[in-house]
Amino acid sequence: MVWRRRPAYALPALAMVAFAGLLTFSLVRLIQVEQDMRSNVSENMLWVISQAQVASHRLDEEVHRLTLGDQAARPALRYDVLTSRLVLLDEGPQRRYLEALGFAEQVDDAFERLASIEPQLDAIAPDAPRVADSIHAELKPLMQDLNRIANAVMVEEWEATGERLDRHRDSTLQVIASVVGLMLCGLALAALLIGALRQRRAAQQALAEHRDQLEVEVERRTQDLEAARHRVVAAIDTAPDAFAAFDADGRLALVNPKLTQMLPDASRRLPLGCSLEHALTVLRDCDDNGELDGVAHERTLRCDLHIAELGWLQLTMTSSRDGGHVIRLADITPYKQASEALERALQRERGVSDFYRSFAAMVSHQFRTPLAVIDSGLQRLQRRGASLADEERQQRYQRLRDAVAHMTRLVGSSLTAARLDGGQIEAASTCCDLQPLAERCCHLQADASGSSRIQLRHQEDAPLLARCDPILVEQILTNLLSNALKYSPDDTPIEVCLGRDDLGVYCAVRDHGRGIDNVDQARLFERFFRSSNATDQPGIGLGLNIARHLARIQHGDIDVDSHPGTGTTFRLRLPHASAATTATGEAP
Amino acid sequence: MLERDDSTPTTIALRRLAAGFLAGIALPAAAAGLPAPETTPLLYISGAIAHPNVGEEAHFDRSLFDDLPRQTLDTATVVTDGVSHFEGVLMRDLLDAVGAEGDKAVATALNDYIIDIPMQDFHEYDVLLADTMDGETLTAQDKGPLWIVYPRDDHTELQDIRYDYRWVWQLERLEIR
Repeated sequence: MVWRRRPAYALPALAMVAFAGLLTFSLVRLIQVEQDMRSNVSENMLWVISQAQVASHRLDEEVHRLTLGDQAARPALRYDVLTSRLVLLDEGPQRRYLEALGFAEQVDDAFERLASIEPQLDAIAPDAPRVADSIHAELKPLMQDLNRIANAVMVEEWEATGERLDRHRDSTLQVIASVVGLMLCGLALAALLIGALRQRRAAQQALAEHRDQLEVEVERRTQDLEAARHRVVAAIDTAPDAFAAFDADGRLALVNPKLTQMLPDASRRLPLGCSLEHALTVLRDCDDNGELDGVAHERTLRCDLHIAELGWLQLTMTSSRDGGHVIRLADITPYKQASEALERALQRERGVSDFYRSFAAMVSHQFRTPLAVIDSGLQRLQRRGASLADEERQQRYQRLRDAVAHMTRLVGSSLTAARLDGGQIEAASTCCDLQPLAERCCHLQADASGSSRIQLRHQEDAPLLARCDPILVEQILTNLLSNALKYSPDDTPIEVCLGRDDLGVYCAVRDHGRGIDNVDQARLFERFFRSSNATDQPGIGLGLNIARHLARIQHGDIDVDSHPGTGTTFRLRLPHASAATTATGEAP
Repeated sequence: MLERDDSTPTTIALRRLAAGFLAGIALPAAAAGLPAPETTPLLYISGAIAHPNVGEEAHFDRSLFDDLPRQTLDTATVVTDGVSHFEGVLMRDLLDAVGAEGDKAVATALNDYIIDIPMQDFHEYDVLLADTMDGETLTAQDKGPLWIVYPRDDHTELQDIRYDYRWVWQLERLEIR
């Protein structure tokens, strides 16, 4: 295109320069012709010469008329007129003209002749032909000279006119040529203009065609894109997961119906155009799992959400290549439930395994001593049974039975402890009145021990409702009562108090025994721990440990308040029936 | 040098009136008619004139001519070289002095040259009737005694052959028509 641009501008410029040049030339030529035609000095010369001739003839005529007696004749005036004519010929332009023609001498000669005529003017008179002849003799060559000058001037003027006509014709031809040139330039300019217009129209046409093609192409691409978009939208709409797409500015651009199903108020709280930050805040508000809390806004994100009354959702956020983001919410509740069930099954299996291991450990540790006692007792009876008195033999049998009874209790306690270790015991908590429960335990213990030391006190008549498992509570109270009976003198009372306070309901068992050291109190509930001042009583250190475990799986507890020499108070605490309902779901 | 006048009909009429008035002051005799010439006349004016002094004509001798307001004019001519200095009277003043009323003046020269000059020329331009050129009195042996001179250098339109033929020298007679 570069090689075309130069002529495209050069040609019109050339044509315009030529146009201007030719026009200027024509105008200059025309002005020259006009000025040339105005200079008319030479044209006037013929008149001047002819008038001089006429004056010379008039002088000659008047001289003769006066000589013939015509008194009206005035030769002096004619002389003056002739002189005037010659003076005119002798002046500036006329003189130079005649000099150029070579007649300067004749003019000077004419003045000399006039000078010789002047003295004779007064002598002209009728009947004086000699004077007239003399004047005529002077005038005749003058008239001949003037005649020659007139001829020469005429020829010169015709020549000059001819030359001027030639010049004018040349100028006219040049002007005509210039006009033709001007016309050609005009035609060239017009042709260039038409060519340029045609090119422009062609370019416009090509441009329009190109634009049409582009429009068609754009239309086709747009349709393809639209179809692709529809497919994507359909795929997203039918996807099992919820999607929310954000554009590069972080504005919500697209959601699928699944999102509204998963988050019922999502359509209200997540309008199109809302920001990504806002969306994450909304999700954070719905979530009670807490995994999304404190998660900074990052390009990619994956965490689990727990939505109340809906279940578990897995949130995945990925960034697209154009800087936008896509949030995907997948319902993972079934997986979570299966996972939890598996977790629980595993825990249970572990518990069973722990139970057996614990039971085996306890049996191996605790059963050797009573078995050794029974074995040695039986050996002694075997060796010396016959020699022993009946009474003594009966005592020894009794001791063996006590040892077996101890072992039986030990087996029961060990099973309970092992069950607790293995998580095999679960509380079947219900709402129950603590008072009859406590009364029954007191009666059973009183009957079993054969004493009436146990005094049950209840501060109010209303039922004392607790959230608990009655079987487990009975077991705990039995343990606490047997301990109180065991570690206090036979003549001291055992006081059982029921009541309620801010923490819940309680049942306190108080004895007036020897009490427990402060140091021992701290370790009192450890397994197999036995207080230093209780070694005189049979026991294996499992009872309180089991009792506290049983209390805790009912969301209660046991605490101790003891002063050596004064007595010990164990207090079983249990939740209020009303308050405990909310905690039901958390029970293992 | 003379200035050119605006020449609308109104100004022309006013100027004539003023010129007549001034002439009345300068020439007290004019009001009662021109005095008769005492020597050989230089110029004969005939035709439509209001103030003749010899019969129907007005004859100007040197003395009468010299009584008119003198004017000068510097201009080139087509028959001489350079700029010449002319003295004389304005044609306008002269014609006013004789009370000329007409469209044209037929000028006749000693050399029998006869030409018609529109009276308008004398009102539009300060046309001089010169009797001296470059300080020398014009004679009949040159272009005298009187030469009608146009202010050629002051007006480009006067530099035209159609005005050149109105420069009558050796003027002897004017006939107002």
